[in-house]
Amino acid sequence: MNAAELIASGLLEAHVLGEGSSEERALVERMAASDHSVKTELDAIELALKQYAFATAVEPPVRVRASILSAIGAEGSKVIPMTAPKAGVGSRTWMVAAAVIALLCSGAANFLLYNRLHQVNDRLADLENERAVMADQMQVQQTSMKQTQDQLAVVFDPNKHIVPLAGQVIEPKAAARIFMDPATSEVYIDVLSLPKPPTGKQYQLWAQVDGKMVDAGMLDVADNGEQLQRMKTMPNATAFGVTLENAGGSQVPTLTELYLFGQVG
Amino acid sequence: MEDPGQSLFEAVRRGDKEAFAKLYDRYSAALFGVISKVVREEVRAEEVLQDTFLKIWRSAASYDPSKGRVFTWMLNIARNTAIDVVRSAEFRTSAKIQGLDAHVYRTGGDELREQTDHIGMDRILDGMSLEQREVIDMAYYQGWTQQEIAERTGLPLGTVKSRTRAALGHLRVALKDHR
Repeated sequence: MNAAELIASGLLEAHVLGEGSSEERALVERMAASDHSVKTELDAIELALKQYAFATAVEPPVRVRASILSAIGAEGSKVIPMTAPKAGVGSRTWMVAAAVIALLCSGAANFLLYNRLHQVNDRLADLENERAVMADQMQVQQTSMKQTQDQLAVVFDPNKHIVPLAGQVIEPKAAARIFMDPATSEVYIDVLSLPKPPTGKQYQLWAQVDGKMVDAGMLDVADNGEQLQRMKTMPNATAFGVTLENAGGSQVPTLTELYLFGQVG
Repeated sequence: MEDPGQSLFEAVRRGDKEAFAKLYDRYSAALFGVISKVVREEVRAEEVLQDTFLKIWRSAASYDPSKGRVFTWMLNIARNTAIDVVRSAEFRTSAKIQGLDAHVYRTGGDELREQTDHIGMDRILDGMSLEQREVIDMAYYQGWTQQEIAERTGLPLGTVKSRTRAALGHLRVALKDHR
């Protein structure tokens, strides 16, 4: 292979990139030493790669420089032998004793603090429970209070008509009051005294409108008489009556079972 | 052959740390550019750059001036170190896991493009044929040897060599014009 063939072969490029078999490398080196054109070509290829590298340079982060230089500094520095500090046997013993005592104290303190931490954590959990229970109770109280306030608002509303319902023959001790709002025709019943209805039976409120008895709603079976109960809205009611009916109510009042009655106004 | 880095490198060979710092300042960006094309994960590339310069420091005495420029010697250390990292099984696994990072870093190549734009490198590269660019990219960006490029492309080794040569020839002419 002559110089021109070598130059054309691509072996020189491979050589510059550190590639090629050992025979190829030896060949290139031999020919570069003997032939000036090969040497010149090699130089030109090296220069091109160098220029290419500089043309596509990327600045590395500063930290890499510091890291490399410190690694170099560490490599070049002399090893400093470790020398034990000079101390008498007595003072050394005292130092050990002091260290042991300090360690024991530290351990005891840790133990105490750890226990204390547990106690505090437990107490905190208890308090959190108590707080949650109180919050629940508070909610119940607030709901109850709101109901009471609503009822008081009805009872103490000066615009409400109060219609007393009197016990009839079947139960003369029975008593209740109707609160009626003339503006909105809202109707509330406040049961003062009524016998507990037998199983399967329920009290029903009736309103007299234009001479007819109209269903005004069922009284809550569970109602123990302490609650003011909102009934159906009844415009133009002239009288109210309560009868005992089968649970769920009837279309027409069973007048033989009339417990309460009262005229409006 | 007059290499301005030669005297600086002589000082490094004698163990001059200040000279080594100067050597780093002068060549780290060029070598990092080459490394970054091979190792596309930034942290890894930084590690390779560090390894490269530590190798340069430790083996400076083994550099033989008769065999080529200092820069070529350093360039090949950088390239080989980078290629070793890319080819190690460990890196392959982590490259899969960190595929997203690699992708992000690759888009970071735009930064590189800006630099090359600055000197018109893109125009220079555009002037090359697709085949020439392929071999240059494989040799540079992926760090493949000519033998491996031949295996991967299915081209005869001779063709790869002549294309590499043509591509580098093109580079040489373009860079000369540019100066």
